[in-house]
Amino acid sequence: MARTETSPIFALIDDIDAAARVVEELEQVGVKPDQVEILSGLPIDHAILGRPKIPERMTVITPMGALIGFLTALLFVFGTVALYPIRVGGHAYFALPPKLIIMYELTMLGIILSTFFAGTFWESGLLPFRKKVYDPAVSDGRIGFVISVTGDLRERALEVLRHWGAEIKEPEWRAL
Amino acid sequence: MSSEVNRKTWEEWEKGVLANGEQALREELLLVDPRPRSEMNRMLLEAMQRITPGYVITLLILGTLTLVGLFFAWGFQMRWGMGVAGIRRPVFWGFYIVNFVFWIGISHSGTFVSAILRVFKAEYSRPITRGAEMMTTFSLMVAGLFPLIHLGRTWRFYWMIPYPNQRELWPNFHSPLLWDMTAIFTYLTGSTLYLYLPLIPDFAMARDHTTGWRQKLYRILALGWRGTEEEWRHLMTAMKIFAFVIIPVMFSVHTIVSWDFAMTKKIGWRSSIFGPYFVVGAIFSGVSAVITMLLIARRSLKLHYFIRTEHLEALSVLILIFSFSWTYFFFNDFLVEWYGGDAVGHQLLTLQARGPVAPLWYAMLIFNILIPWATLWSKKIRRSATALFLITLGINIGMYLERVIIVTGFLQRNRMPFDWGTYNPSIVELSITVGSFSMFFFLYLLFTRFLPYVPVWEVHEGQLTHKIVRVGRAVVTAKTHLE
Repeated sequence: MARTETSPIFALIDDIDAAARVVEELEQVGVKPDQVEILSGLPIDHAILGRPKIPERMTVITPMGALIGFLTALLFVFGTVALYPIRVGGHAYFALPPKLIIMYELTMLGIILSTFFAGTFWESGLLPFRKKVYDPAVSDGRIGFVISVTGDLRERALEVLRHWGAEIKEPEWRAL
Repeated sequence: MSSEVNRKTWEEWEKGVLANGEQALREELLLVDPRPRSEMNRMLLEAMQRITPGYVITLLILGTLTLVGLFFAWGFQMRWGMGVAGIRRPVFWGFYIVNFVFWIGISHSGTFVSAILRVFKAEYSRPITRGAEMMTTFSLMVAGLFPLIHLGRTWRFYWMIPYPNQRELWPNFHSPLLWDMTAIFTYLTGSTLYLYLPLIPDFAMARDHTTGWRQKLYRILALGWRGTEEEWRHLMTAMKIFAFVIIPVMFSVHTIVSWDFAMTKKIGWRSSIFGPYFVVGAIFSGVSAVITMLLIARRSLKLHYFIRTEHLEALSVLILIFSFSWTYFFFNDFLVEWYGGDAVGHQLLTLQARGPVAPLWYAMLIFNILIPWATLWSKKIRRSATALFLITLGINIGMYLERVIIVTGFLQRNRMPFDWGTYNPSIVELSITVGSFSMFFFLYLLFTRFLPYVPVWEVHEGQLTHKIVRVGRAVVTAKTHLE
């Protein structure tokens, strides 16, 4: 694909310190943080690169999952007894202690499933087979910059990247 | 002039000592011996593609043993009924339950080595977490088969699942067996997803560096991972939540397994310390099995750069601690029975000390207490791969014998002497037992060639945060917290 004005800039940097300087200078020349996407082969905290903190809703999703698991357990352990009562050996219909075990396990299962499906897939936007800009060098430890800017800003961004020794590449749209 | 000469000599000497110290630290500790990420990726991918004739033959043997030993024998039992098993009155629980408890115990390895050490930020565990997590998943798969095998009429297993039915029968939620099923399902789901989560970036790495069917497979498994800030942030948060959730689930699973025994009126089983006794025993055998499997994997995959003596030594210290803890619980259980004044309880102790169970009981004490205590205090032994392989293998033999004694031994004596008996496992039970071990090793060895055995990104992250620094005349490691 030929490089056009509308296609993003893709650059690779080896060093974290240089990447942090690039982030800083891009902001100085007028590139907004949401116009820059950073790809890396290891987790780099937002504070290290001076990027805004990524918002996340895990604190809502996980308790919701726990609640769903807990309510499912309630349905099983109390609903069953209420619907089909069987009197056995003078035991209480609603004996709480043994039911606590099922309630505990299903609550934990709710947390596990909600964290995995909603937290990891939905929140991260991990959807396979969609074409995205990527370079395998990222998994070899290089830091990738995908910068979506046009016109004069594009030139200034390129200048910053060149100054810090970034390797500017043709953006490859890969079906990952 | 003389002081100048001395100073020069001192400086040269100091330089040499520091250089040697630094070199020694690099040889010892993975996290201060960094290599380029591309080189680490290459080492791991080469290991995954190392399929030697020996490996193929081993897999074939294990696969055949699994098919014949486990599945054929299981089919034979389904065809002819539970009469082909050796369980007879009064010993109604035999090797199937022994195997179930044993494999659930092994499954504690991954959670302990991965989740607990992750929560406590034990940095050395970074390269060994994956191998331990794989053990958890595969051992749970094997463990989950045994309640089905023990059912006899396996095809009725769905009666355990709560669903509306015309007979208006519901599972008994007050039964420890249903607690078992619920807990194992939660643990298996949790530990499989906990294995998968940190694998996603490694699958992406494998996708980027392989071709053909492997690339297609890893492309699906990597879920389109690119390593964006959102992806990393959510992955790290999810891993933290999983690490904290899977620990109490792990404790609950083996506690519930212990309640299968402790909830009965059986002398020897009815004990309030059975929960922690089982959990400690499970971690003891699980961590020992991690060492055994790490040594096998290191040799088979040639991962000597990633899995070093430091890891084996750190884990063997844990084993020694858990040997102490297990002994404490064992002694508690034994002493209360001894001085409890119950005649049947005394019969159980006699059975172990002087009866037909005695050889197993003494072997258990030798493998679980005598050998670890006599050997693991020594740094030299803790650093010897051969010694550790034999000691950890012995511990798992000892822990297997413990379950044999608790399950099949204790059932031989009860309050009615006319109902005392013995137990001899049948060829079907022995065959299924051998098959279950084969299945575990088969799955483990097979997946070492499909799953990246070492979480390279975690090792890389650890290497970024560890440095060698000089303090006075010594060179030591220092850790930086980047979070």
